[in-house]
Amino acid sequence: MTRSLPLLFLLCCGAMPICALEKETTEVGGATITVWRHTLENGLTILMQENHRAPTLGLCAAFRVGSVDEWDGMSGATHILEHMLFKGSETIGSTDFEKERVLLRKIESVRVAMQIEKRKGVETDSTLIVNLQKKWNDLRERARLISDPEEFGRIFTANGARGLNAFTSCDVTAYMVGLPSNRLELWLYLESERLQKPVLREFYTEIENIREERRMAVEDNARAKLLEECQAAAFQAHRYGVEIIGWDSDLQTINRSEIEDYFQSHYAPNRLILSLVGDLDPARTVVLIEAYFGDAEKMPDPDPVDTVEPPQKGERRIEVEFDAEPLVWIGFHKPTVGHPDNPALLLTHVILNRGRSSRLQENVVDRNIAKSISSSVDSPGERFPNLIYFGAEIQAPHTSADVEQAIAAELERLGREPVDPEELSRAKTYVETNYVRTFTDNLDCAVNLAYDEAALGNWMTRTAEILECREVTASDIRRVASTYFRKSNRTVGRLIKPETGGS
Amino acid sequence: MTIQTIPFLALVLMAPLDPITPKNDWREIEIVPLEIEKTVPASHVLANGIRLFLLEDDRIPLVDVSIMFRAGAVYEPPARAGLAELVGRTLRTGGTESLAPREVDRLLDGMAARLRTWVGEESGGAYLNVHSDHVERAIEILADILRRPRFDGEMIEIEKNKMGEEIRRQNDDPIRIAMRESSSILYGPDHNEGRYPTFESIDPLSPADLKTFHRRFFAPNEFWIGIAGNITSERALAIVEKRFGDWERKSVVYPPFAEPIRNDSIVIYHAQKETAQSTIMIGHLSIRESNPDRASLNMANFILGGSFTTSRLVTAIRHERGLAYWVGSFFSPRGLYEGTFSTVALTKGESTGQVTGLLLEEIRRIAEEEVSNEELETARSSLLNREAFEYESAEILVRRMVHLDYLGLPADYYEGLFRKYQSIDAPTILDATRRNIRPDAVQILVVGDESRFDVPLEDFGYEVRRIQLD
Repeated sequence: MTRSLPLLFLLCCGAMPICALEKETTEVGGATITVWRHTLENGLTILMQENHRAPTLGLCAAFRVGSVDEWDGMSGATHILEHMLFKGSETIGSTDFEKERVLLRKIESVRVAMQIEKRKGVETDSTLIVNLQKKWNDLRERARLISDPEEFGRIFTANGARGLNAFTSCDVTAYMVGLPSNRLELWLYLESERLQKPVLREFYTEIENIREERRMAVEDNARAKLLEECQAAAFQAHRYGVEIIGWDSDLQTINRSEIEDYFQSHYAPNRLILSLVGDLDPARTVVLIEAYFGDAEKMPDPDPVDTVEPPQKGERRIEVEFDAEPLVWIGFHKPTVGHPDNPALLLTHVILNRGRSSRLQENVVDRNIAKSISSSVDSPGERFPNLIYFGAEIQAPHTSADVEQAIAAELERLGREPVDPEELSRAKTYVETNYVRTFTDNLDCAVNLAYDEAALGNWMTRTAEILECREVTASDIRRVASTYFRKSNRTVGRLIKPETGGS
Repeated sequence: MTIQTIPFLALVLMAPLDPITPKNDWREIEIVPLEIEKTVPASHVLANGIRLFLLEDDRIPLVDVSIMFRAGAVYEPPARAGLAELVGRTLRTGGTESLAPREVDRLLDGMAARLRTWVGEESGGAYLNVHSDHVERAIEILADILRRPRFDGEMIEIEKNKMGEEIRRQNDDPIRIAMRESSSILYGPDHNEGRYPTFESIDPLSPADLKTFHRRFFAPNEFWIGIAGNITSERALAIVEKRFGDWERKSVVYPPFAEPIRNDSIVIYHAQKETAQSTIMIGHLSIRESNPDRASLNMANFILGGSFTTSRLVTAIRHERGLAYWVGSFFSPRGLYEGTFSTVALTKGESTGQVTGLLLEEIRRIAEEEVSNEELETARSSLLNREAFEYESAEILVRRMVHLDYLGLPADYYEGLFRKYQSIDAPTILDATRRNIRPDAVQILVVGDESRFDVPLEDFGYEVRRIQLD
């Protein structure tokens, strides 16, 4: 779809390396988007955009690894690793790393000994457990005394970091920060430390924080809880059915050594994208990146995700009991970015639920059947076939059935009657203008470029899809609506109040 | 479907460069001093009193329009809680004198324009983001909405129903409950910050109420407009003159409003909800926007809980003990009356008492002891090194000017803050926290499941009051 150039002219004149940069330019929504690309010999991809308005940089490091790459018993591993990469390295975060290394090894072996003993069930020696637990706590306390897990974040912060954060999605893990542009080399130093030789110190304390995150983001949140359960129902075979943060029992039993192994097998330069947007000199930036990441060794890819979700045979319905007013979620399987139907599906989604004049907003929300309808067209990820879904807050005195019926009526109508040309043209304008908006802010732009490159293989795959929307016709919309909005391809989840209990 | 080729230009640039040796220690990395070009947006005052701030940036073909006006819930009759909010919502949805509600929606969606309007506690506003191809038409519609809203009766009923459903759903989410109840506790139920719409207060609201509110408080002399992005200042000025210039100045009489209540002793409030986590908020009324201690308090807050990576609360509760994912502290200043100082933590029910104790301890320490030199220097360099971001985009610069001018603060207010960050010392910070943080007057709110708590709330030795959620 996107043309890729013959890569790398790495010429050498004596000892002086010559940096070869590719300039990628595209016109979309009246904007000209220019990105500089360079790929290191070890496969690391560099994307850069210049914006010299202020001496600042939006910076992102993204890996092509997401929760979809996990396996049973390891749910949440990708997200745990993301948290742990804020704890420093051998040179950052320790006052005596040789001593700390020994303690970390002992902590792990006592942890494993405790697990082996606990798994004996009725045979478990509870006195031994108590002793091991005490030993474990003592070791952790001793390691804590010679470590400073906040140092890594503190260096960033003291240097003016803005928006220092990271996220894990089903498809991608990304680390981002805004820094004054005179801190470019510092960023590379810090990223090369944590992305190449991290120390996962204070692991078991951080696991408790992640469990708190799970309570906040899933357990006590009605919409998120419903989404977690609906995705699990919609995907029976594929890992897209497992929530990114992982099951709580996995969080409690995963060991540090397992996450270290996961790091070793999944974080390689050939899966890493560095994207930098702002006040930079592309050629000099490449030379700096080469200095800090050039020595990292290319590695074979981990096992691919071969599991394919089998076609759905009939509607799936679930209920979730929760102490909150009712919600309903309706999702349909569909292909992902790169499939010829996807641009039409993108527009279908806009026609249905983007803007006040969209069909669901006008005919369901503004008729007070649902209080709100949120939706997504590429959920939960884009590396593999995914879902289009609609999630509604039901407006009393209406029922879930009323909302399901009202939404279904709009979906059926779309498969039956051609859309109005003006409505289609509005949707096309929306898609392009919104894409242009993603290039406004330095940090957002860096994250979007890195994310698209990591998830889709090339950031311009997204541009290509946006531009393909121009060719979509009213009959394409009707065809995809009738193809994918079938009852047998549908999962419906209702969130209801528990019959007893609650308030 | 045909697959279109992307207009695609390729160019290979080759630059000879000296190789660089990576540093072994981050402290060896050379940091050249930054040169920040301190751009100032152009400012104009229209004959009718509208204050206008403009800055061009042609990098992306988008234009940002930010509007503020002096009209808020603080001026609504207390028995009509929700009136100001409803005005804000139906400005956008209720059409204009010349355009039916659906026509406005279609026109804006046809341009892929983003337009939001709102009326908050002390001020209202509008935000428009539109492609530069459509900027003239979009601002015309925006002016129409703000000057000549229709407040269509049918759309008002629809928005009232949505607000009713929000009331019905107000106890679904523990964080939302905590935010609401904490405002009620700190300001009292008669203050606009402490009262919330009820079915009784919104039911009687009519188009006439909305029109009256609009007539009384919307005036060009109480309007601030900022335009940034791909539009020249000349053109932006001409469009604003054309669409807002003939709006006649009028004198607005702002009615008196209730003062917040005073809470002088510590009280614990508990709202029972069967959640896995407790939401704990501890704080009291505190600073106004014009507070002279702002720079010192920004540093104090950074050290207490403002920094997500390194602050006392994050260190003690998250990093050392694994007790929270979300913990921090905030100053939320207000213009007309005191704002709030608060600390927040979300922790499992089983550690509610432990975390409450830690929050109280750190609030007392920041108000009674000098910060360490190391803490001070980290805060100082962090705040100072962020200065460049204040100039990162035209939108940021323009929006900041609109906000400062609305508050009556000087245009170089932020430069003043940065100057102060350079020299503030620990005793100055302590003076400021002593004046503005009152550990013996904090109000403690816990939303959570009491059956899980590690200690009964009564064990703290303060009065415990129960909040009934219904």
